[in-house]
Amino acid sequence: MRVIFFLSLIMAGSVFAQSATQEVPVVFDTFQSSFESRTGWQNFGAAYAMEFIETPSEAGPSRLKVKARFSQNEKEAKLIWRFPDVQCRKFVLRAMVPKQVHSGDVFLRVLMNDTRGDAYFFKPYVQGTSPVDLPCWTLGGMKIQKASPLPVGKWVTYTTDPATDVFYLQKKQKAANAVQDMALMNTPRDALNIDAGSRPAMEAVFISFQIKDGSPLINQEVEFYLDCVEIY
Amino acid sequence: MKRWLWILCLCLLKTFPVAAVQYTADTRTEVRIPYAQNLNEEMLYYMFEWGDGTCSPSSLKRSGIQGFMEHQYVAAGTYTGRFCAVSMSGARSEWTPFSVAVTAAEKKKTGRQPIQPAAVMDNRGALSGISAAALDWSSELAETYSDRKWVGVELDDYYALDQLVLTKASGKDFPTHFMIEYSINRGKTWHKLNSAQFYFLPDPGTQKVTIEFNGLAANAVRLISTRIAPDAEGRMQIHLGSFQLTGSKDLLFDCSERGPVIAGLNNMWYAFGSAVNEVRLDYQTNGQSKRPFECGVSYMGNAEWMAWDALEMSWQPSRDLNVLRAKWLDYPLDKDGFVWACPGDPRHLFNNRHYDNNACYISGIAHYCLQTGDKAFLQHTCAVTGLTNLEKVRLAMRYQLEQLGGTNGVLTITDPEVDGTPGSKSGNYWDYYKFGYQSAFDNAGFYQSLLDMAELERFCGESKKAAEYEAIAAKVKQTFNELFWNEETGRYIGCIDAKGVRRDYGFTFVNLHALAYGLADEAHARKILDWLDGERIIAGEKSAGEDIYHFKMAPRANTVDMADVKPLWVETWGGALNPDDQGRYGMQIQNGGTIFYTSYYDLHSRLRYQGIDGAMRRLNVIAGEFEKDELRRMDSNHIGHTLMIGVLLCFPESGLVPMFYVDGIMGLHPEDDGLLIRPALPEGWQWVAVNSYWFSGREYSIRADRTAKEVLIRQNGTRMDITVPAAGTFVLTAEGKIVAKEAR
Repeated sequence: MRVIFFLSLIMAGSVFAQSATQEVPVVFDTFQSSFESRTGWQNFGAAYAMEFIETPSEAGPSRLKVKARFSQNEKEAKLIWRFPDVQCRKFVLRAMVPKQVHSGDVFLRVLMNDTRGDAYFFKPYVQGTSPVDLPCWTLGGMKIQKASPLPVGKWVTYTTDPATDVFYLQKKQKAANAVQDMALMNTPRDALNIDAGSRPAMEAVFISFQIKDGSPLINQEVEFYLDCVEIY
Repeated sequence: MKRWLWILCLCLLKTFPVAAVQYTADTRTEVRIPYAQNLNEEMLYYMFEWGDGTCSPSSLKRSGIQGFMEHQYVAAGTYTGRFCAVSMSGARSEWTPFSVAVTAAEKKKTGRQPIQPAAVMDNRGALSGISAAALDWSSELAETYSDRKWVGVELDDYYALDQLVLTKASGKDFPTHFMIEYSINRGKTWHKLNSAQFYFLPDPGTQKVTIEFNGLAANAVRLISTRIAPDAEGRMQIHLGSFQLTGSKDLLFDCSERGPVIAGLNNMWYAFGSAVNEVRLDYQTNGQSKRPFECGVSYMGNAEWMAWDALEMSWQPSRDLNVLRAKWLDYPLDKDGFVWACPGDPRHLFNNRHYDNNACYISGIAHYCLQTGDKAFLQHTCAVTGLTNLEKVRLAMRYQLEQLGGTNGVLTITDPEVDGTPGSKSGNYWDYYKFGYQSAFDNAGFYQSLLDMAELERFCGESKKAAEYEAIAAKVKQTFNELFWNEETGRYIGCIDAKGVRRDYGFTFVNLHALAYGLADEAHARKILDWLDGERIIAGEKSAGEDIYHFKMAPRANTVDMADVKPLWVETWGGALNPDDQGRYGMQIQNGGTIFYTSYYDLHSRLRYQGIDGAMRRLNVIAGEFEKDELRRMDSNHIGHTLMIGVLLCFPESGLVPMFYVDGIMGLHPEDDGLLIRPALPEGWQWVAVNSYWFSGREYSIRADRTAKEVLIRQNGTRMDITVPAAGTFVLTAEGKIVAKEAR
């Protein structure tokens, strides 16, 4: 007869962080393996397709090509990157808008979801001293963010610090639309007994390439590139 | 142990976390240690050092959930072990010690026989003259942290893998960020072992790191880095001392034609059936996982999944089956016999009643009892209803016959919420469409439940009742064809609503269920299969020809765009699934999308009406798709909605598809007088086998062989090995005897 023993333990051990010898991201994607990347990435909005291609970029041997078709009704080409729940001290991505695109028309915005269903709207890509107003739709209504258009034909590094760069915090985004949220998140987290004293971990990043009203890119086919996303 | 003593242990551990806890017992071969840890809400895994020279990292878990880890000690003795939690960003709990006294141990039946690889290889190619058991390997220098460096082995054949044992290279660090991948085509494509993805792995020292495969089929395995941090000298490189696989050439599903098809069927079972190697964030095999871990789950447990759950889970003893049995024991029914959607509510998603619940419940309980011989289940008095489970099943059937009028040959739903009109609500598993009133889908399930109930009644010695059910089933079959056949489209319609409108929107799943249950005659079956195969085009429909199998793994759910049906005949769930917008054709499972489980019915339809070669043509396509990415697909539509393809996560019914090997090709089906064995070997296959199959409390290995002239039975330890001639039909009785049933 086999006896299986159960030992219920509530671990009271302290937590300590492991120091790294050099700053290396804890979670990242460099699009080296399409099969690996495919489960973490989604495209939607004006972004109608993704291709994981082995074309060298600044970060390595591969990149992600995003195909988009803007319209009067859909001015955002959106991506979701899902990663295992992790604390985010810094988020970095490298993106490129090809030369064929008219300069000054594409803006980059980033939104992050935590494991409690809250959404953090971060500052858009801003470069220089004269950013323009960029509309941002939230459950709390339309907000105006200051943003700079992405330069064309060169890789741009976007970095955000969740501690200081939050533009707007949207609480409990998942409660807004149960069916859609289930599709987006697949985790009814409110049912979990999460320690109220702990900090929320992040679980997904929404990356949006946005155009403004009247842009010549409306009804145009556009491609964008990412070569790396990193969480530190 | 007394409950107060356990509580005392918990208190002591809470207060003195580093104090070792002693356990003694007469015999013990496994230890399970539930635990809970929360490292800043990050996902985490546990590193267990077992005290026997081995250590094992668990699969990833969600923070703050209690769980367990198992270990097989192979020798008696006292072992002092410890474990800690490691989070995604490298935060680590303190080590918690434990002590285990093992006074007897037994080796796992599966063996753990070392596998001698045919070749050792890494990024650079084959490593000649190097033994995997004494690898002492270092990768090339990486240029960046993201460079992938790997080392692995190619095997001489397919193996049911048991375990991978890794050791540290002498004087080098053990890899800290890596995952284990396997291949069924010698490395042409690699698949991630979901349960083996590690970050910031603690130094194992001299211990062997063991990683379980639980029987997965493969002919190549590798360790691949997922991040390389520079060492003290700034070099980015990984190292490994040894790479030793154990396993057996006997696959769970085995056959003479060993290739990616049979290997893929095995792994499809492990991914979507037992789900034993999937990331279970809260430890339950039926529990939630989430992206980016695209995982299969083993069962659902609610009414509409009962027939499927029973089919998938009853042929092997498991913790999952025990959980399901416990759930089914006291499953609630209304006083009139209506089966609730889930234990907490009679309504589907707290919305409205579904009228396929009863058929699924009846078929599920019947299959479970016939497969396991568990008569105690039937005799158990339900805590909710006060009835025995046999009485409950009969009551559930009476509800179909009397409340829904099934005695007349057709179920008729009189619930005004589910009358099949555009203003009504969904009435069955396919909860986007408004099936109601006289639904072909529900009536097909009703028909099958009558046949299953007849088997159960005979099993209980009630032949007269069984005959009555079979007589009603014959009437249902005739009525089904009279009511639901559409001569114009050459297929079955979805339903007739309360106003008499015949709803035919090209429901492939309705037709496949009906064919698989044998409701159609040969002529109707040919018309339906010709339509699905694109040999018969129905003009004016959104999908026709090859496009019906656009997703390859299974047909589109419907061939008419639901947006063209006005007024809309769909439940739009607050607009999120609206076919005019978010749920447009091909972008939503229930409007031109697909659910993988329907392939089980597709395969059985073809087996029944086209023979095994027709079924194999479809199965080979499915296996080819599985070989690419294990169908771990979650494509999204234009609003980020991923419910276009139903394979993973909340679709445990995907595990039905590999079951076609068991009840289609092997032809194993429990009936009242025993296990029916009616093999259907594909052309060119000399033999097929399932190497661990439980029927009525006994374990068997069953093989059907074209060269066998007579039945061979051999006792193999506690298992009985049976070989039958491939062309015959046999019955294996509960006592383990084989009798020929009829000549083919």
